[in-house]
Amino acid sequence: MENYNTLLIFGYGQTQLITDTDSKIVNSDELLSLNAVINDIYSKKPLENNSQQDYIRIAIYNNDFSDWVNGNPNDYFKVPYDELNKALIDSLVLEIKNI
Amino acid sequence: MAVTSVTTTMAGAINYSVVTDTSADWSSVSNSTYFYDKADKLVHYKNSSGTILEIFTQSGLTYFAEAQNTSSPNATTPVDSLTAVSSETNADFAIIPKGNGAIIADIPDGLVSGGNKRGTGAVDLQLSRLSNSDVASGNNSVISGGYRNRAQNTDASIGGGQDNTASGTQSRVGGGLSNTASSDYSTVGDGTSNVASASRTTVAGGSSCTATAYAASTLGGFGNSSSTSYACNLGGISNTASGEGSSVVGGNGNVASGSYSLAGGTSSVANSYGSVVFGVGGNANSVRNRNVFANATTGDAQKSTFIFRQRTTDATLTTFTIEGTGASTTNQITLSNNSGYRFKGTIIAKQSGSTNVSAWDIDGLLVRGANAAATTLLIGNVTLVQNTPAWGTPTLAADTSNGGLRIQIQGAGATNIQWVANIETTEVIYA
Repeated sequence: MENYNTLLIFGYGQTQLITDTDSKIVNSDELLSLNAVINDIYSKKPLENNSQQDYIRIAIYNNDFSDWVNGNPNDYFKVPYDELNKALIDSLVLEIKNI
Repeated sequence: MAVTSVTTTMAGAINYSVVTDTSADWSSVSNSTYFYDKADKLVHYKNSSGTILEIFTQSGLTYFAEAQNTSSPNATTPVDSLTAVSSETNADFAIIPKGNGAIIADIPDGLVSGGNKRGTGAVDLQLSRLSNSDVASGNNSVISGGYRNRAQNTDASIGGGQDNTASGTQSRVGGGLSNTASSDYSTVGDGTSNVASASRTTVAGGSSCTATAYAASTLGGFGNSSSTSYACNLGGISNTASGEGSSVVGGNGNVASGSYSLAGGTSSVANSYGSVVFGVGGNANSVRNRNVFANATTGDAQKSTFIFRQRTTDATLTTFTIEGTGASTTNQITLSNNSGYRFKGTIIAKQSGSTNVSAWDIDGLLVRGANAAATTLLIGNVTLVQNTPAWGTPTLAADTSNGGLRIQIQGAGATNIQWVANIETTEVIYA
């Protein structure tokens, strides 16, 4: 499992990886493994939540949870980390580290 | 009133020889006599000096009086009370467990009803649980009240509220709903669904706010994230402070991802070291120390201010950058694709240990097409203000490698000169 603290995916087009020792910002369109992570999180949206698949920020807090923020409090949702596809996240973290 | 002599012979008990009706009769009792008083239903002793000594008190308590109050509004749920009755005007009331015992409001039974065993020295006054682990299980932890709260680590505390968890050492949740303070010295003051998950983090209130890196803080708002060390969100909605020591002061959807950057307004992106972005839709475009004010969609209509600072020690032609290092996309006036920049500014230089100083005004027009190579300087004027020391005149050109404006400066041999430029740009992006 890749080591990181927080992964932030911004709607304006950048993705930020935060570790204990580094903060790295890359353009999201360079990341081949990004959409799979986004789709995985969105697919775990609670049934009663009506959020569209747009976002201002998607945060993944390692071993804690992911939250989806699009500026409308009613559309906010959280997914427990245990429910996320860790293999997809690992691939994304590794891809960012290797840029 | 009566004083009656009796004979009692109860083995192992105090045998009194006199019975009184009330305390008014006690003066008539002989010295060195045990007697029973019908009014208070207690045995007393009158010693050889005539002093009445209390052998027992009601309920076995000397300094407290117990009572039950059933008066309105306590008719349905009476109040049973214990009141300090010291003869002094004021008296403290201490509840002191023995050894490592806790002060608790339920008897632990490992079930929902009583909960798990509390931590040593804990104070747990919570009366309602959904789980047997909804208790103050940390040593010296505190739950003052509420429902389904958990104080799980040493010295952790929860004031009240519901579904709150304080699981870090010396962590604290004041109240609210579903808040979590999960690292050492972390705090959530109030609000709902807030998380303070790294050491020394604080979420003061709001909803769905996070502080997830060392000493980060979020004051309130909704969905705000402070996710790198020392980052801070003051409020607003959906803001992110993710650069070390960065801040978002409020607004909606702002990002301060550069170290020590500052953002506010709406959809502002301060994504470079020391950048400041306010207004609507401004973007620092990863250029450090850039100050932006915008009325834009992702930087397509904004103004910026750049401060350059560099030193020369010889006459080498040097590319002038914001922080005086090798030229790159992050330390010059770098354009976005399909953008045009009108720029105006001043370059000033001063020699160390001397009053030698020179200055030039610059202005121009720069355009960039679909990529960096398609960058063209259409106008580039350098106007002399004064150059008495006769240092090299700055030059302007398009930087087609980095897609921006290249400014070059030239000092003098064996001369320490500090160069500063203040340049403002008016920017448009339109593909």
